Amino acid sequence: MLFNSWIFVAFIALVLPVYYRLPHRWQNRFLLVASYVFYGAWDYRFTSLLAISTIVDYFVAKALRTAEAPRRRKGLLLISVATNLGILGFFKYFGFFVSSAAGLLDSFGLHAEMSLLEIVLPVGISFYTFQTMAYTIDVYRRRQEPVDDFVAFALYVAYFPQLVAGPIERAHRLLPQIQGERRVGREEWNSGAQLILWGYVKKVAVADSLAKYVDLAFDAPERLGPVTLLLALYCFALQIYCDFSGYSDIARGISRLMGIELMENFRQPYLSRNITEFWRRWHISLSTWLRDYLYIPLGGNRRGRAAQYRNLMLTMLLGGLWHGANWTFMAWGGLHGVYLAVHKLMTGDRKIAAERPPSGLREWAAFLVSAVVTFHLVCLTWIMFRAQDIESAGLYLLRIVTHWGPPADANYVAQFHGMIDALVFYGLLTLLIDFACWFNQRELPLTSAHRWWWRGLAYGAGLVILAFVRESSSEAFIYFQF
Amino acid sequence: MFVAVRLLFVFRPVTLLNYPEDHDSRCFLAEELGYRVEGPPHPEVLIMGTSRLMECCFDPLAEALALRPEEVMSLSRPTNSFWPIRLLLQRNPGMLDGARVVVIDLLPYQIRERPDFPESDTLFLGYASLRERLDCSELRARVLTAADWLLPLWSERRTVEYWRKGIGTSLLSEGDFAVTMQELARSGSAEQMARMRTFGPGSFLRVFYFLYLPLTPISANEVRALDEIIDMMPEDTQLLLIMPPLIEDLHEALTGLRLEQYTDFQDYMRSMQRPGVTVLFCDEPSAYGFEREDFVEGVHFTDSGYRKLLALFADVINGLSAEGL
Repeated sequence: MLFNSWIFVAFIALVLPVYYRLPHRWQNRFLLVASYVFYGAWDYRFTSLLAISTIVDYFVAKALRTAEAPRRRKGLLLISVATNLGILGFFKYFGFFVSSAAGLLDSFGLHAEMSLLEIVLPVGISFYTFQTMAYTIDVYRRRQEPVDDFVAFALYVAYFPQLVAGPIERAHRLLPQIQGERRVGREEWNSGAQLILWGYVKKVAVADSLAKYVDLAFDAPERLGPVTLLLALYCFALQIYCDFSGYSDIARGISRLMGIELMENFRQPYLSRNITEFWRRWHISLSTWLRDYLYIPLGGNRRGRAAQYRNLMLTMLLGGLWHGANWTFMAWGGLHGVYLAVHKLMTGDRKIAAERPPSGLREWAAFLVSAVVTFHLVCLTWIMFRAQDIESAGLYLLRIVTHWGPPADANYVAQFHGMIDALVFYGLLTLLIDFACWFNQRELPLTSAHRWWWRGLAYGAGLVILAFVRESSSEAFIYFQF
Repeated sequence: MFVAVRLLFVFRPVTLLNYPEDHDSRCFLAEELGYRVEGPPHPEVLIMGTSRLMECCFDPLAEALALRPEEVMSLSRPTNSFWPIRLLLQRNPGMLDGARVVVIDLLPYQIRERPDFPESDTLFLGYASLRERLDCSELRARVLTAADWLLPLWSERRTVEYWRKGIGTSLLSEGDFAVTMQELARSGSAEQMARMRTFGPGSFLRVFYFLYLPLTPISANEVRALDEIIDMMPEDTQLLLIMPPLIEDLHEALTGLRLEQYTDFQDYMRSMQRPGVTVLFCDEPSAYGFEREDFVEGVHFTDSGYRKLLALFADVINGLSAEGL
């Protein structure tokens, strides 16, 4: 069930009151059942995958507690990684690998009959497999004690607010909260409700509104002119950010109402001065996961420059592949890898400046220029991310830069007549919300320190926008396909 | 927040904050004139038609009536019926000043609630009084429309573009009116007409029954609206309620089947005949010189059909006296 659906509202309306009335032990059991109901609403068959991942990792971790021999420990870890990557690989990448192999053979003149299964992609599979793998890897590294309470562990894997689109939590953060007593006071209520409100504004008002222009543009870029394509690209940049960060905010807000803190997953990434800072602000749970479980084990920056750049590229390529079974995602990741490597080359051993807001006119000017440049570099990668295939991505980029191809189709362009209004309005709205957070270096634009009428006005405006502004009907979260 | 929002919409007639969403930006001007206009036009002949008259250029009619083109004005809109016509006239009371004839083109659905009512009827949701909402025949419609009156989460959800345009919109000037209407009508509905041309006769019969002869309850609001339109007519103004011809196949089907929805409609409309109100059903197409090629798909007219229709209108209007035809 989508967060932005009435059925989810009804689900929460049932879950929260029951949750509050239960003692702690029964809260975990109840939440576990609710989480499986939530996930089963997508497709009940895939709850079995969730259960398999949970059971395998629970027992692997327990076995790691007593296993001392390195070979045995590695073997146990391999079971967990193979199970999770196997599930992920089969359901997400089987078709991609088969069709890519067939394509490769075809290019050598060898035609091979490859049977393609019609495999449905389970929602959130990339998220929970990574989360549960991180647990066993941490247990293997002796950084995490294995959990005896099966219900607590199962809830760690299946916890519904973050199950299908993150944030990808770490065991050392989430498990103690699940195992321990939880408190929901006034501050949790206020901030949790505010997170939910801004999350819905970003997802429902902003992301869903811009979706139709993005779809129209990427469906037929050859029918549009460069300006329309560029504006549609900005729309996508806004859409994907608000879609994903909106979902994360809703997840964190709901979780906070239950006394559980989920990690911040986005920190105003489009206000980054450079690409390195961007990756500290965008999808933080994934970027830190890739850093800790891929980049650092590969050697990180400890084996010289060349190795560092190689490790960066590999990490980003695999990070791209994580997003989807398509060469476009790898291209997206690869381009970010290039950006990061170039930035490392430019900055050398110099420490990246602290990410504090600028002060003084010169710093503001420098910030604006660098933020705009960084934003556009990121937008370039979004073409790869959103396009159906490499060819379409290339065409999209070529049309923007050179207006290559046939002239724009006036009738098709006419469908974009509301786009500028939407882009300006929603862009400013998002900037307003994000700027307040970024400038004050806090997670929410308003705090309890603000006057009650000021907060009321802001919340009211958010509700009015949700109620009375729309461009299109409900859209699923983009990141659900991962 | 509720009080603030409700207050906002109480001032709708003045604030011009609303803008209907169910048509594109090349909207039919009659829809725009659903909102108050500063200095509305004062035509001599006012055509309040449905989509059947939307694409028509009425200049030949003006010429036939010895009038200037701007003195014949069409405020036709798709799925037009008595309630929106009354709304438009109510909100622009000066428009009937000096009007010689007001022509309303009839179709059987006009006294009934639409099959997809109320979700599809954004004008009703936007402008109906609470009493009118509670007068809807279906309980579901009463509940939804009343809830929307309380908190217009359905009818007042607009795109950013429409909110921007709605605030302080200045509507088209009188001089631009007639030309713009036709341009807008032609460009807006051309695609729809092209699509309808692909229908075969059998398919279109089914579509016709669904669209034009819905088996839905009689709408008390539509019936009341027609009475109010008649009451609004100035003393010297003739109201002509006319159903232009349909293609032979449809005419035969309607008369052959004697469908209740159609016969009830005819009977009811004919009961409206009185001094100052003329009701005319052009049942037999060949009697008025209409042939197959005069129709797009059986209901809407081709260019040749429009020529014959305007000649018919000219004859009828010229023949109108104080007692009607």
